[in-house]
Amino acid sequence: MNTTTMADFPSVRWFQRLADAMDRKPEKYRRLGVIDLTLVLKIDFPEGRSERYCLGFEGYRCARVTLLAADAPIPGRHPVVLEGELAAWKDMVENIEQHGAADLTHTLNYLTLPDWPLRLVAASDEDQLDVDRFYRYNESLQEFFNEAAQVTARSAA
Amino acid sequence: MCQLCTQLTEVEFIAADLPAKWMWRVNHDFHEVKLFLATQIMDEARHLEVFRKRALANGGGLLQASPGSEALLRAIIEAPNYTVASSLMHILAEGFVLTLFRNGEFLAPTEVEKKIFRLCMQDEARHVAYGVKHLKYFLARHPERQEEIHEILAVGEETIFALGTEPQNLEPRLILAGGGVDRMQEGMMRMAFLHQKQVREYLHRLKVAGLDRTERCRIPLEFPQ
Repeated sequence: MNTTTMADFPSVRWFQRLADAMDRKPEKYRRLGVIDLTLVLKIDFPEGRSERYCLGFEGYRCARVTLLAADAPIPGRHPVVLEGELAAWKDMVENIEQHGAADLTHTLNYLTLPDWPLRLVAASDEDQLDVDRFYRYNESLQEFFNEAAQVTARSAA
Repeated sequence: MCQLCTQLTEVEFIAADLPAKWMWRVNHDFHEVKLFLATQIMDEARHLEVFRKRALANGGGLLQASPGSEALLRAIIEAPNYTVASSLMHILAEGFVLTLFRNGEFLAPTEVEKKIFRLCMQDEARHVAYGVKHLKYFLARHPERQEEIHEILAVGEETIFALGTEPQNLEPRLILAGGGVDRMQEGMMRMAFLHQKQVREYLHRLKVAGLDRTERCRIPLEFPQ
């Protein structure tokens, strides 16, 4: 199914669409290997508030998408936080929509290596190993976000 | 890019040889370790193949080998026991190469190179995670061997720092990071940031394994200008 949605970005519904798109392509993700990671996307809005979306990756799929309350602990195994301002997130998503996949300067690695505009933050005792998991599953995560090319993003801002 | 790929080709030879050297010596009771090492040999073979092909693909070819690389690789392959060898290779060398792959993806001028570095990055992170967990397991059962690991890492750190400052290793990265030969100074600033990240991540991984080298690390946090 190759439909688009008018769900707002960011929202649980929007990220769930990416998870659904991932589910429809098991062979593609199977080739990239299993994922065991809880990726928390922290999106900082211009007015000072933040939203945290928790994506639970298990095996070849994104099994859970939840919006975390402000002070809620992060559920799931091997959590790592990927944080940045709404503008940076929107820029990434719009670039993916425009090109069908992230171009040379909008890949997850490109955006996080200099710690700007997105930043990886550890969230557990064995934190560096959890951060390393972001590198370990990077191609799968990139393909997951590239699914945004099929999901129409309408900014919440 | 050809010089960077030449260096990576050189490194990947030993990254495959080292687990092959030790795999048959590992007792069959640790069969998961043997299986993992077999997968690593396969990974490194593919890395060697892809970097060699990339160096040859556009006519640039394989360029200069590095004495610093040879010194580090010799220390790894001649390490006296498996845990020492693993600490040197999986945590120190592959930890640094993991950042190098991330940097390669960042600097890659084409989609093909980006994909090469991303896929290699995934493999490398798996090897680093194994090395950290192995050292953690080992030190928890043999705390009296800590000093032995400290000593070999000190040697490895001095070697890898010297290697990183050799012109044939440093210059191509400065040119790629700066965006041209005339913008190497800009590249130096970016590489200095990356160097700090590399060292911090290395020290953090060792801490997770139960080894604190914050005060003993032979690699300066500030990259020499």
